[in-house]
Amino acid sequence: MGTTFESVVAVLAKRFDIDPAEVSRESSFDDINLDSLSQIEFGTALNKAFAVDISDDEMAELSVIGEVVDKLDEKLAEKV
Amino acid sequence: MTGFAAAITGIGLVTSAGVGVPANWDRVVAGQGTAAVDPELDGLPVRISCRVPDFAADNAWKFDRYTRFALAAAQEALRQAGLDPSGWEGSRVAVVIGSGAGGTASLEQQHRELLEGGPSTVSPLTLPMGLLNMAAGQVAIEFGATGPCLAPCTACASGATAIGIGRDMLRLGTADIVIAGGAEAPVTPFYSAAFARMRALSRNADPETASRPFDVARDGFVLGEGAGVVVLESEEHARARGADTLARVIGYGASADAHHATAPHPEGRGARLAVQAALADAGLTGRDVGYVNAHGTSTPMNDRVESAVIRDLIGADVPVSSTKGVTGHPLGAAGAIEAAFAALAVRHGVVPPTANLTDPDPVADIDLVFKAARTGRIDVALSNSFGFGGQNTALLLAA
Repeated sequence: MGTTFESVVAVLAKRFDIDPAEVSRESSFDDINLDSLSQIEFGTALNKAFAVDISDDEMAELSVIGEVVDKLDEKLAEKV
Repeated sequence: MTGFAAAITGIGLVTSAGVGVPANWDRVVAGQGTAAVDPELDGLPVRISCRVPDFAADNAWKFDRYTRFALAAAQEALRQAGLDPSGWEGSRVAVVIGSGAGGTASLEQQHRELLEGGPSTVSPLTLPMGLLNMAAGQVAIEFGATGPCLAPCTACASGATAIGIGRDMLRLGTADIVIAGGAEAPVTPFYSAAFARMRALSRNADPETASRPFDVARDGFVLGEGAGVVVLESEEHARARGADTLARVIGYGASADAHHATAPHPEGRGARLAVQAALADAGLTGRDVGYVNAHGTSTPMNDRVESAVIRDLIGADVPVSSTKGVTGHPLGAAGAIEAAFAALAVRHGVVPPTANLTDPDPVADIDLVFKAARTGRIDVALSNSFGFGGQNTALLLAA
């Protein structure tokens, strides 16, 4: 198992054809061309991939990938 | 108000015969069918389709397959027309791209998500991918075309209707350039099952020859997919920028059977009206037509009615073929794809043969072209398109 960051990047690559090399913790959604609908879809893809429940509202408060990674870590910790 | 010609300065084609005009025209002139058993239709009553081979999956996450076909065809057509979208006045460029089913594969997938995972799993991209006007919308976005943008739906006549409407726009002065055509990607288990339930699809045990318009052994159509897009301009506009005119759209007729949801009127009332309207629009008679690209779906009902209409209005001695023998039936894209083939026929002086037609049904008392292409000058070609809902379109193409 890699890091949560790597897992998030893998979801971006699989769902949105985004080149993993283009993504860092500091990347904003704008930087990787995710519009507002795609941001919501990103949350849905993470929920499916990790069996968590990041809500659309929670997703809307995030703006950079590092925050997404932290949110996912938080949700994964809740599961344990 | 007759005598208006829209110049076709670019053509783009994506069909089961290949991606691009050269691959398509070669295969259509050779009369080689493309139907095959489709693994994605496993377990269905009909498993035959005509799929676009090796189509790149770029942007598949955000564009339905039908939109990607439209974008590829539009790109090819614009390139051939020598138009550079980065430098044009976009407000004078219209997009008219029809479809019958829109992004049905995307809609079907998201409906499964709804049933299996509940509403929160339905993608927010469902409608941007699934809507029937999205191929037109995405073509406008891609090429910065800010003129009128619409997606006519007349079922299996949609692509032809789009070209007719595009020509009307040029005639009215609504636009200087129209990107017009049709796009469809309906080879899904849902669509295949629905057509199979209507007994509209061929169940031929020999898939390669299943699409055989006008043959005594035809037993239905083969589901196809693809896109056909043409660049239309007024002749003056094309001339002023030194563009080659490949062919011209000189007549457009439309009608409704007003008879039945799916069955053609037994005497082809609507089909006749559409052909007559196109001839009147062009100021021609049936005797001026030198080739008919028939709707020719390979269903007994269509072929019988359409051949009677052609015999009566055009003549029993005018060459007729259906390119659906090669492409199967790409539904809402068919009319644009076939208008493109008719344009290429007049441009090259070649009547493509009807693939898989070996034994013409005597009920079709017309000059069917099969086995091999015929060559010779064609001044005017007629392309017929008939849709469910009894919606009919006829286009006349000239050199």
